Amino acid sequence: MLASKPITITIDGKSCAGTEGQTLLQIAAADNVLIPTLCYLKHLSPWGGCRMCIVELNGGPKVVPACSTPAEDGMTIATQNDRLTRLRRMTLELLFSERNHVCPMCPMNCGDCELQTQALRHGMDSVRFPYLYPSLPVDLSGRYFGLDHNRCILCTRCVRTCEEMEGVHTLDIANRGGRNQVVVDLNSTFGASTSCTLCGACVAACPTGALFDKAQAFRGKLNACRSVRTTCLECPVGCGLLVFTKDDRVVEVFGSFESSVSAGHLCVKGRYQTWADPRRRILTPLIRRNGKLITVSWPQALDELGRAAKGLPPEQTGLLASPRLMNEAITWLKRFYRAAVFVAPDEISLCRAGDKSPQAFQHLQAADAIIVLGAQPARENGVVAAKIRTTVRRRGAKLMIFHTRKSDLDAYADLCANVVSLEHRFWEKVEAQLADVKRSVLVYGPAAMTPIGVTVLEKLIAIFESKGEGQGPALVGLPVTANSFSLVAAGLEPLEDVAPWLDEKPLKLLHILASDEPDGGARLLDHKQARRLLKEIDRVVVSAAYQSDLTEYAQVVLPAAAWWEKNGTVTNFEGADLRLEPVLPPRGEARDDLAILEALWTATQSTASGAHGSSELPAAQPVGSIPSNRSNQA
Amino acid sequence: MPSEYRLILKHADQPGYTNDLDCYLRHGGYEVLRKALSLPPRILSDGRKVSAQEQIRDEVMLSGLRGRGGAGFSCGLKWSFVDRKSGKPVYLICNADESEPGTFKDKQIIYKDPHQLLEGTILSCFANDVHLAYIYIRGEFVQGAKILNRALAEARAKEFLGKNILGSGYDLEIFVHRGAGAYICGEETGLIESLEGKRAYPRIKPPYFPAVLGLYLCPTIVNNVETLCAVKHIVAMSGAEYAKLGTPNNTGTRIVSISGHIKKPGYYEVEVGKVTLGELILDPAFGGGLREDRQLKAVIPGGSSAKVFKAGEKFKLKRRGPDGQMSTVEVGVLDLPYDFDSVQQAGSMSGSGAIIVMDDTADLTEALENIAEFYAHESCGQCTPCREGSLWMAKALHRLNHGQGRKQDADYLLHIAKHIQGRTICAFGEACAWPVLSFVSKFKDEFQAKGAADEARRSRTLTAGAGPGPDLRIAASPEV
Repeated sequence: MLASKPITITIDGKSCAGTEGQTLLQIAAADNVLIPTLCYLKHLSPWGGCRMCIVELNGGPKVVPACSTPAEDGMTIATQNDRLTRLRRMTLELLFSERNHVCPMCPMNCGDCELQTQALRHGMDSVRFPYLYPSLPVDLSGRYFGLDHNRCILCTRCVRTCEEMEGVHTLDIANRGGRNQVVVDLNSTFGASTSCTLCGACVAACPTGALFDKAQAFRGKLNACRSVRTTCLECPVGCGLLVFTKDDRVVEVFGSFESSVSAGHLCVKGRYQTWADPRRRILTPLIRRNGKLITVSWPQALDELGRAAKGLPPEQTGLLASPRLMNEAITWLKRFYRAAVFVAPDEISLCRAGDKSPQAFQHLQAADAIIVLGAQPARENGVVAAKIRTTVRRRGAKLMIFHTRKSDLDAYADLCANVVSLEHRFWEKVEAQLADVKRSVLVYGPAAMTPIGVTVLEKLIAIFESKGEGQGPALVGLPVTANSFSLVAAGLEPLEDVAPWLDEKPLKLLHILASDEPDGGARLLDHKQARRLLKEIDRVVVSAAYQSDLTEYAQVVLPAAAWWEKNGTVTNFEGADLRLEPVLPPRGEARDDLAILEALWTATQSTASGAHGSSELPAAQPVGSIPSNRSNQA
Repeated sequence: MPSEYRLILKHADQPGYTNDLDCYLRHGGYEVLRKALSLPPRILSDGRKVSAQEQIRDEVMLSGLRGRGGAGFSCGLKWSFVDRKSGKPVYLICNADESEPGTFKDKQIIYKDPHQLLEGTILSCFANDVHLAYIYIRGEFVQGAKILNRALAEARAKEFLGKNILGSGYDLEIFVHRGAGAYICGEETGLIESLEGKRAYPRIKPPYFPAVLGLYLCPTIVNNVETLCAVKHIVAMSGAEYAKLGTPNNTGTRIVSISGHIKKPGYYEVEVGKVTLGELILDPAFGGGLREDRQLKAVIPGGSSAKVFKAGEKFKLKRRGPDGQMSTVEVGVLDLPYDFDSVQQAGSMSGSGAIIVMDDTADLTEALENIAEFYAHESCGQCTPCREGSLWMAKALHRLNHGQGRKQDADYLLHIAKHIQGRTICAFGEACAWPVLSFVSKFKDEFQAKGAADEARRSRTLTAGAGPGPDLRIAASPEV
């Protein structure tokens, strides 16, 4: 593609450079000229409706919206003068008189409301129109957010976000003119909506308090909050988060537009579920006395640990870790003589068979056909599902889903089949769909590594091979857990079933690092014989963030920090190393996995006889950046 | 003596003329199409070939045909803007969403002579290499849609439509799409959105000019029903002949819908510019004059969105004399030639050719309220000034007509209207602001008197201590 032609326009007497195809507002913004906007958001298509960004064109009386007018070489615009201020103030007055904007009662009052901010900036201290006082409903049926029509200014930022970022088009505008109203589905409510994914992008886009988070309302003003950029660790995508906290509580969660991965978008997990977590945390170290776990201090717990490890040869001490550990902790794990990782079924074969998927989102965005095999992005990786949906809606890309379980994405698919009952004629359909497709993407999850998944995969490869050279799909592998790729790269022994590992050499001391596993690591108990084998071990130490059945087997329980309390790096499914910053201080006496490992190391090291490994810190080899030789193309 | 010149509606009102294909064929129907499809390429002196399609486009350009939908934009020019090199298909849409208050011309064509519209559409499609066209018909024209669908079926059966039309190798399919009853769908980009199955929000121009990024972001031509019918006659009689009808730059015939306080409301096809506004209202061949003992008060010359003319108003028009010199002539409302340019120079527009006549019994505040409520109801709500402004104008006029007026209301209305025009994405902003601007500024005393009378009455009741006090729900009007 040819580079765009450079052009020059004059903004308020200042010469500004831009390129052809840019809008007046984009060039002005690049030159730090502030043009007031309401309906404009830079990641959405321009709307041009609110008329706040009007500028005077070529000195004439004609005003044009800067957000949607393409700049032409030699244009002269004025962005600030008395007339424009007057016109903008009039627009603001019309907006204020339209609905019931009762600022003192609004959670966005004093700084968080764009409408109020613009009114102050334009000196709109009163409204010269009589207020309409319409009778409007408030929809509080949604799980995480509410919609108060009284505060809506009909900028349609939520509607466009829902369509262009999440791709579900739950929101739209109903009725005409002054009776316009944002509606959910076909005039339903959030609570009853069948299409809403609860991603909350509309709430983040709302310039007023019309869409607001229920849990966060009135917790604090954003400008009085501490803001932290971190990475969501709820799935391997690793979306960038911008979290605002006050008094050690989360006030607002936004998708970080600086994130190279998610570009400002989030799914329900990162935006809501993490923070509205009903699970019970382990707050203090516990040790078992007379069959009961009792609260102790960290030194007491470590003493107990030291006593347990005393005199044990290294081969009788084991370590089972969760794949949610961060890269720094994984590096530490390697110091231990017997360390292994317990993973989800088929996940390791996925991480071994496939490679990381660099630029997965770019591939998805430009795809003509997307095949989903054995993955559940709609449930597990909401942002990937959003990208698939928007590509299907915007580009008309074909979507083929092979699954064993139904998902919300099926409604968007051209072909959708249960892998268990595939007929020969189905493959003819697949071939027909892929016939004139140039760019395709294969999104696969752990289930693609099951025997039946491999059969489907082989069939697909055959179809692509028959299409000829260079026609293969870009691969996007979606593991289950956040940091699985790093574990494989680090060479730790991954276990889909822990029983043989436990059975192989009897252990005297087992440390289970469940980290912030959502189930507290209890899925270990589902493995065959695991309960019996765990009972046979003298000492079981569990460090976990959440209470679970696993602690019943533990003699010592250590409270682990959750990912939003941690500092470190993870490697996401694209192979990018992403940074985590602590959003909140650790709950109770919880400690970082790294700190727990260190304490464990010290405790066992000081007491054990002839412990394995050196007492020096492990080599600081960044696990995430181990180079990969495989190509991304099939 | 002015008289009608029936070209498009030549047969429509003849006794015994029906809207089926047989009747149309008996009256020479589809002969023009047959001729056009077999038109050989013309070889120019420099050896360049001019295809049949280009010849038709040239004829339309030569004819000087101006769009009959409202804006009066040159049809030939519109066609010339179409991006033919994009590699994308070109679509043609017939805008049959006739819903401007006072206009009822397209309806006559669709109901009485649908095949003429089809022939004109097929010719226009052929001229622009269009293979898929839509007729977007106003939702309320239920019968019209039925008639058109029947006509399409008849035309398909006789190979005037479909694959390989009349053996020429040219394929075309036309579909009728019914609107859902929104005025904004008459705006071409709103119409395109609606046709795509979306809410009819007008698109932002630039960049979404239909000739480049229209239906499904492909080049698209949107023409009015009457314009497409005129194309048929241009091809039949040649562009030069058509240009002889009417006056220079305002060529051809157009159908004028006259309504209001006159004896003979109805539609009349006239040569553009050959008849004055006065003749259309007063001449027995047309409107037939006002009712007994009534005086003319106001005329809306081009549909409800056009600026109103006050009886007795004088305009200065620029005229090019026979010697080519520009001169200024002063004409009164009734002597104003009814063509695009003259009405525009007089400060209004001939729009969709709908003349609404109001005599001295008309209460203009009520008339304006009626118009304003229409626009408040039909605003799509995309742009703040239009969505809110149209609503507030309707509200102010409503209270003025319901005993709650104020003297300042006139200025208040002007204030809002001025804020709307030129501040919106589509021309709807102007359409709702112009009537208010013109009514209030031209009949300001009437609006002020009504407001003052309301104020006086309210203060009387207040001092008498009887009855309810002033309505406190109405806050003070803004200072303007």
